[in-house]
Amino acid sequence: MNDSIREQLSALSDGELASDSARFLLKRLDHDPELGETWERYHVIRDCLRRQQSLAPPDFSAQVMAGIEADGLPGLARRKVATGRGRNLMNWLGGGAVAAAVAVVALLSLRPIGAPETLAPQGSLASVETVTTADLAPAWRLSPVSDRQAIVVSALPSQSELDGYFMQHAEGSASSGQMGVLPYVQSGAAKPVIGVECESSQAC
Amino acid sequence: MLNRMPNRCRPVLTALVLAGTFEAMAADGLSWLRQMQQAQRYSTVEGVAVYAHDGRIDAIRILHQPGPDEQGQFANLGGDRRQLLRSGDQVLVQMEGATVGAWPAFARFESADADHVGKLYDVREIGKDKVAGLEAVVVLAEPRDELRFVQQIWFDRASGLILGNVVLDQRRQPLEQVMFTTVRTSSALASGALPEAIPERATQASSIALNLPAGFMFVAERRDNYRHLDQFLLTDGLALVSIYREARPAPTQGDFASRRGAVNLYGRQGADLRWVAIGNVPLPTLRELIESNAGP
Repeated sequence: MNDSIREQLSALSDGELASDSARFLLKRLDHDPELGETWERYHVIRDCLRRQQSLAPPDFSAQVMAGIEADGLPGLARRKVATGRGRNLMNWLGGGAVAAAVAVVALLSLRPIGAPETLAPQGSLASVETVTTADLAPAWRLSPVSDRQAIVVSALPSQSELDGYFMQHAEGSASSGQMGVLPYVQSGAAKPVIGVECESSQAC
Repeated sequence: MLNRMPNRCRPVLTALVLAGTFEAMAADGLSWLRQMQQAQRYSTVEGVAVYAHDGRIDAIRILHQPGPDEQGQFANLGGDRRQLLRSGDQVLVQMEGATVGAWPAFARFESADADHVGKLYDVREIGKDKVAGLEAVVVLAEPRDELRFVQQIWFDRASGLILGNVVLDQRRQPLEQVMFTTVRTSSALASGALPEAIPERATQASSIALNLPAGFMFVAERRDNYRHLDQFLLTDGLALVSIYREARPAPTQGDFASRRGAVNLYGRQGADLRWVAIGNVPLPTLRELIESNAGP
C-alpha cells in the first residue's frame, strides 16, 4: 500500500475525501483485507485521540448559549413559507445544513451497485467510558438494577459500536412517533454511555 | 382515526388541530396519548430541549417537519457537536462537520394504540405545569408489572404535542428527563407538508421468529447490510425496545451491558452471532429478551 492510498484513507476517515475518490476507495475496501485493517487502525487511533477530550467541558453552559445564538441555521420562523409539497432539505434547513444535505447526496451517490445499502457509524461517535456506579454524580441515584451492573471485568464492544446501537435505537424509536420528537433528542446525546461487562447473565 | 376518515372529512379535523382545541378532546391520560400521536403528524417543531441523564445535561437543537418527506435536524449544542439529519428515508450522522454514519430510516409504520397502553399501564392526568412558556398537562403512566419503567409526560395543552418526559425506576428514582426549554410549533400543512396516510394496522410478523416480553409487539425491522445487522423494533405503546442480531464471529463469548439514562442495553456475544437488546425498560426485561432469543 502506498502513501497516496493511506492519505486517501485518512481523508475518508475525516470525511474530507472527494466523492469520486471515496467511491473508488470504498469499493476497494470491500475486496482488500490489508486496506480494511489499515482503515480499522485509523479509527482506533481517532478513538484514542477523542477519548482524551474531557467528558464535560467547563464552559458547557456558555457553549449552549453560544450555539443557540450563533447558530447560522435559519429557524422555521425565519424561513420562507414554501408552497410545494416536495420541499427538500436545502430549502428547509439552509446554511450549514445545505452542506449536510450535499453530503447526504454524495454519500448515497457513491454507493456502488451491489454494495451494502448503509454505512455503519464510523469512528467514535461518543466517548463510552467504562465506569462503576461510584463514578456517577451523586445527584442521580441509581436504581437497584443499575447498582447490580457495576461489575467491570474485561473489554466491551467498542465505544463506537455501543454508541451506534444507542443512536440507531433512538432514531428508530423516533420513527414510531409515539413519544413525539423526544427520542431524537436522545439520538443527539453525546456522553456518557456507561458501559459494564457482566461475568455472567446473573451478574447483570 | 384520521387515516380511516373519508378525505372530505380530514380538513375538518385538521382545522380542529390547527385551532388548538385538544383539551376538550382529551378527557383522560390515554386521550392525551392519542391526541399527541395525531398532533405530531401535523406540526413542525423548532426548539431546544435538554436531556438530563447520569448527572449530565445535553442541549439539543431541534428542527422537525413531519410528512412523507420527513425532514429533521437534531444538533447537540455542546460537546462534540454531533448532529443527526433526517431527510426523507435517509438518516445521516455528523460530528464536528464530518459524516460518521448513514443508514436508511424505518419505513412509516403504525405503533401500538392507546388502548393497548391502558392494559399495561395505569395512565392518568395528575396535574398542570408550564413548560417553555406553554401550559402543559402532566400525565403519569405507572406500569402494572415489573417489565416496564414509570413515565411522566408533559403535553402541550393547546396542541397536544409532547413537551417532555421523565422516566423513573420502580423505586420512583429519576433515570432521565427530556424537556423543551424553548419551542415553537406551526402547522406542517400550511407549508405544504401533507401528512402521510398511515395504513390500517395489520398483524405484522418479523422476518425471524422472536420471543417477546409480555405486552410487547413487533412493529418494524430494517437491515444494515454493511454490518450484516438486523434491527427489530418492539413496543408496548410507551416503551420502545430494539433487538439487534448481528453476524459477528468472535473468539470470546460472553454477556455485556450498558446504560445511558433510562435506556439499558444487554448483549450476548456468541461464536458467530451477537445479540443486543436496548430500550427504556429495566435491564432484566432485556436480559430475558436476549435469553429467550439468543439461547444460552
